[in-house]
Order: sequence, then structure tokens, then C-alpha cells
Amino acid sequence: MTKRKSGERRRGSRSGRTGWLYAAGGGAALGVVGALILLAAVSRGDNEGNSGGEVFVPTPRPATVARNAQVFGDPAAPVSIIEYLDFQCPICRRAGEQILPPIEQEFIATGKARLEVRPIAILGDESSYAAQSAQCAEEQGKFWEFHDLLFGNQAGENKGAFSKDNLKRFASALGLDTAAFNSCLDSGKYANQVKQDTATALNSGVKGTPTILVNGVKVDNSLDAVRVAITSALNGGS
Amino acid sequence: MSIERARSLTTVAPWVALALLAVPGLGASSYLTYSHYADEATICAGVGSCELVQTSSYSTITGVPVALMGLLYFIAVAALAAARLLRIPWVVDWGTPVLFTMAIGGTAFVTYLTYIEIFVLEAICPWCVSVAVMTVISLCLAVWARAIEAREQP
Repeated sequence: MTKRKSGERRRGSRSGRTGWLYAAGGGAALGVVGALILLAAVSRGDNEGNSGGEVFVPTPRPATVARNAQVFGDPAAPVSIIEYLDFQCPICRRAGEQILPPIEQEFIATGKARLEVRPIAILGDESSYAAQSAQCAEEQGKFWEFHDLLFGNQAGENKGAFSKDNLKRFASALGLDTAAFNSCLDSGKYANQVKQDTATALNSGVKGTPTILVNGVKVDNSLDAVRVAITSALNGGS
Repeated sequence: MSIERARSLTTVAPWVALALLAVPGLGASSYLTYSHYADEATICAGVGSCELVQTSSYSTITGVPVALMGLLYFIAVAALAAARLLRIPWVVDWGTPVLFTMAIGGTAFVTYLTYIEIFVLEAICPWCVSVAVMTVISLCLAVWARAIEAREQP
């Protein structure tokens, strides 16, 4: 009897719940989502590209370590590390700041491994401009300086951080011959090469960036994984 | 089977479906959240551009990953469905409008994210699309639950 009364009360309360409740709930939900989208736009605006501010120039790499174009370290080192990267990719920047420096110190500076980076462009036009500009910097022997500078000035994707104008400012901040650099970048002489490198990487199984290979075998993007793979290769593993 | 029993089963059917939907929803959103925090490339099974979508500036809102929002949504959906199936009185009374409100918000948000994928990033992340589809299904189930409830009202 009590149960039935309770059920009737419940049903009674439900019957009082008309469409307005759903309309109010739906309207409130849409309002919250609208506010979220607005917040997203504002917070992205805060992070948008370095389009005129000061250029951050990273500390130069040690001159004692051999380098040859995109290869850092002794070309005859027994272990090969290859990294596919996109200069606009934030995880690549973190790999460059957190994974590779200890590896460079432990294995590359000691002649046990060499690092080759292969810039590709999967995140849009500015990825391509950045990769081309690194090749233009290499014409003046500054690939690695430009590589570090690009990551140091990364700010959003396709928002102007790596516009051609900004890349020219980077070259100037790095002390490059700006006339030669600007002409190289404007001519687009490396545009096709970047396009082909990207297609080759994707066709060879690269599914994202960064992709790190140690002696041709893909490893996880963590310092431990790279360190273990190199140590294993040095000890006669793959 | 009595009419009363059949009616009772019909009433809970959308909630059973919702509980079942929450399982893959939790799976996909957990994976996206994990790969975001672990800085790992999202496994795309050779389809789409998960990496681009997951690392784009649209993947977080003031530092909070949208993948985490998806995970919280499906945790809430699973909890609500479980509470309704356990006949917790408050949820029996208010579960449907709460679910409807959540699902409207969720669907609006995944619509925005899918628009960004297609028209801004021009890249599709299959995991994100699957979460979006499951969110839309949760709205359909909310509408179904509401229809049953309306029919039962005297």
C-alpha cells in the first residue's frame, strides 16, 4: 500500500515535468557549450603565433660534436638514430627538449650514436615553410641552429609563427646571410623536396611525428625507450 | 509475461542500451586521454590523421584536453545508467532530464569538434569520430527514454 502510494507520488511528480524542463536543460547545456567554445577561441588567441615579438635564440650546441647537414654526431658511429619530425608538432618540441639532449650527451657526444633528423610537413603550410627554411639555413651550415630555434619559437599551428616573414626574422636573429636565406626561401627551391620527403616517410610507415627509429627499429617516444634501444644495439642487439 | 513486466522492461531498455554504449565510449575516450598525457602518437590503424588532431591547438581548452572531457562525459553516462538500473529513487525521477541535458551539451560539443576536424584541420581522427558518434547515440537514447516516460505519464 505504502509502495503504491510512493509510486503514485513519483508518477505524479513525473507527470508535472513538462517540456519546459527539457527545453531549459537543453538551453542551459547549449549555453555551457557556447561558453566553452568561446573560452577555447580566447585561450587559442593567447597562444597564437610569434608574429612580431622577440625571437628566442637557443644556446648553441657544443662545437666539439661532429655534424654533417641533418646528421648530428660521428657519421661512423655504430648506432643510427633517425627522427621524423614536424617543426610545428608540440610533441616533437618536447622530444627535442626532453628526450634528445640526454641522449646527445650520453651517446652522441661520446661517438656511440649519431642522430639524423628528417623534417616532414604533416601539419600544414607552415610546417613546409619551416622545413624548407631549415634546408635554406643548412646552405649556410646552420641546420641544427635553425632546428633548435624553430622549436624554441614554436607557437600554435598555422597561425603565423612560421610564416615566411617570421622565418626571415629568425634567420636574421641567428646572424645568417639574410639576402641568401630570403632568396632561398622565396624561391621555394626546397618545396618539392619537403613534399617528397613527407610522401616517402608516410609511404614507409611513418604514421605521426615524432617517429624515432634506432637502427631502423621504431621505439616509443620516451627517454627510457630510446636509451634502452641504443644500449641494446651497442650490446649487439638490433 | 505480464503487461506490467513488459512495460517495466521497455522502460529500462534505453538505460540498458546506454550502459552498454558507455563501455566502448569509456574505452575510446580513455585511450585518447591516455595518449594525450603520455605524449604518445595515437594509433590510427592506418586511417586518418590522429596525430594532427590530437596535437592541434584545438585539442585542449585552457590546458584541459578535450579527450578528458569526453572521458568525464562517459563516466557520468555510465554512472547515471547504473544508478537508473539500480532504481535509485532520485535518478528514477530525474535521470531522463539530466541525461537529456548532458547529451544535448555533449552532442553540441562533438558537432563543434567534428566541424573543426573537417573544415579547419582538414584531418579526421577515427577515435574522435567514434566518440562523437557514441555521444550522438546517447542523445538518441535520451530522446527514447523521454518518449517512453511521456507515454507512461497519466
